[in-house]
Amino acid sequence: MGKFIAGRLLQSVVALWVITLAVFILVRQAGDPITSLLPLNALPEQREALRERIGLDKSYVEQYFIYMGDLLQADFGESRFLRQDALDTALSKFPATLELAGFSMLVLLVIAVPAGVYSAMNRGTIGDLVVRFIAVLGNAFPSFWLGIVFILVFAVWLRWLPPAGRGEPENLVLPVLTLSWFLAGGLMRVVRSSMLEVMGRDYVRTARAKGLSDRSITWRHVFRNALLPITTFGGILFLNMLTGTIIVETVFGWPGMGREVITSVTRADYPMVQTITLLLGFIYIFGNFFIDIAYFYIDPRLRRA
Amino acid sequence: MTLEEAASLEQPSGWDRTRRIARWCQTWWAGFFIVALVIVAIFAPLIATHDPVTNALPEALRAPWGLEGGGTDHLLGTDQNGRDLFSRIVYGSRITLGVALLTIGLSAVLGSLLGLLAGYRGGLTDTIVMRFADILLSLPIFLLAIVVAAALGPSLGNVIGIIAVLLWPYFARQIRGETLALRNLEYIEASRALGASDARIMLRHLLPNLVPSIIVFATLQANLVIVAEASLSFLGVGVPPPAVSWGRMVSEGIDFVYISWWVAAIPGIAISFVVLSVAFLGDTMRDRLDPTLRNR
Repeated sequence: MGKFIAGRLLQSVVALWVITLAVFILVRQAGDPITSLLPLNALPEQREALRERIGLDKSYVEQYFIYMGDLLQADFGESRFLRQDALDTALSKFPATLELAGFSMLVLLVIAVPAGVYSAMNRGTIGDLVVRFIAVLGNAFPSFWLGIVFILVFAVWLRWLPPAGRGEPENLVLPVLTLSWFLAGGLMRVVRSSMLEVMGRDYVRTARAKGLSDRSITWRHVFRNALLPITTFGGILFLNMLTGTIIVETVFGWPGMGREVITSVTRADYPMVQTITLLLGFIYIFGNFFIDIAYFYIDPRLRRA
Repeated sequence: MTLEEAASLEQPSGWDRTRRIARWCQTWWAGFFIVALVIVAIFAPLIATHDPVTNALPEALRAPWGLEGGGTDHLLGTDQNGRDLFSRIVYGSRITLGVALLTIGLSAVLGSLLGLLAGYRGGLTDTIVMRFADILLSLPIFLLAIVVAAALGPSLGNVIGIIAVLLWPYFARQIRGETLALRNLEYIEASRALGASDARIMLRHLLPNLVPSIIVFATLQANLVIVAEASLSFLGVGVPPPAVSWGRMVSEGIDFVYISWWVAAIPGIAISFVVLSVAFLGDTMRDRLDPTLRNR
């Protein structure tokens, strides 16, 4: 087990390093920052002075070592547009994103898990068919388009909910629905197929022969054993939500990290883009690492294997 | 035969028949839609009624035919620049299908060959290829796609390249697994005994047996690619104008959602139809060609 953890840890560290390297190269690919930082009529000497001050006059190798050194000291530089510490600015946007992802996860679990269980228990009936059709339909609406449908129906036509912004509870409804709807179909299918798989096992037949009630079989024998793939998939979904709220935040004007990335991209504020990418990359990679480790604690059978 | 089908055989009912008919309709409808779209994409200049990129401001924000203020001149209405939405949808299908085809083709070829090599050779080759794939798979893909597209600048080639680079590990993992199952079969050992080279065994004996899986897996991934391209274009880092992308059309319509909802809704509906059809088609192909992929 120790070997497994060490291996996964190494892989996570390498993955994170790949992201830092990619960001280093990309930011330098994206054009000369001097032109966007100084006015057009700046003198060549001024350009040189700034180049020297930011360290762009050094070789790429030197720049790379300075960059990695800064990162290891958690120094992410300064936002070019806001003239504030990039890490602080990025972190100040994190609660909004966490709020959105957290509530979406809650809604996702409340909708998708019971729907999947129902679908598996009533396989082949009209109810199963309806649930599965809704799941397929969810996948057919990419989140930017679903968000617009929701805005159109609930904000423009019915005028029940605000189309954008953050603060009031009703602001949460549409973004949360959009984010969870698109992923609900996937989770529901995983719940359904893992339930079906467990239902075919011998010990479930034994439990049934013993005369246990359907309810007890469903929840105590089948569901608990189907929980492992569901937990893993749920965890991965949550990470995807946390790092993938970019579109939903853009559509609903939600002031989180995702929208900050897009805003920074349009402002050519590369320190900001770099910081948020690294931060979200870190959360995603190490989140995945912990999900893998959690595997072993949830299922004792794996520990022995 | 899967568990599910076995269960439905045990209890024959009216439902079974209904479901089979529903399945049949689903497949044919999806197939028909995709074929029609391919024809539309190929013959776009003949089908489009207007120029998709020339502005005609006096015609701006006309409603679709059948709605108040709509006419037969612009069947699906016009956008904020007076461009005919029907013609833009017709031309946009070229981007949607073209990007999907090229990206899937690229990552399927790259991923399948690497997966085949890793699975067949094993050892160090396997370790290197699969570690590399694992690392790519553990990255937040969509975030990286956006950042890469933003840094390199929006262009058709970049979109295709980025999605393909991020997608190939899925093919590699799938095909490697299937190669492992095939490589110790007797006919492979027989050809090795006859002195066939590794390259010959991989390309002449293994690859043809993997092609059905590759095609099915590619169809199942096509949805991802279509949604990814539309999403990147929606965010403004995808396919740049003057090319017409449905995702970008939706994002342009978002500002007019209060007064002219159709500008965003029509390309959105087009995206949903394509995604749904491709999903149905993928399901059917999987069941027909490669039942082992079920539940994926």
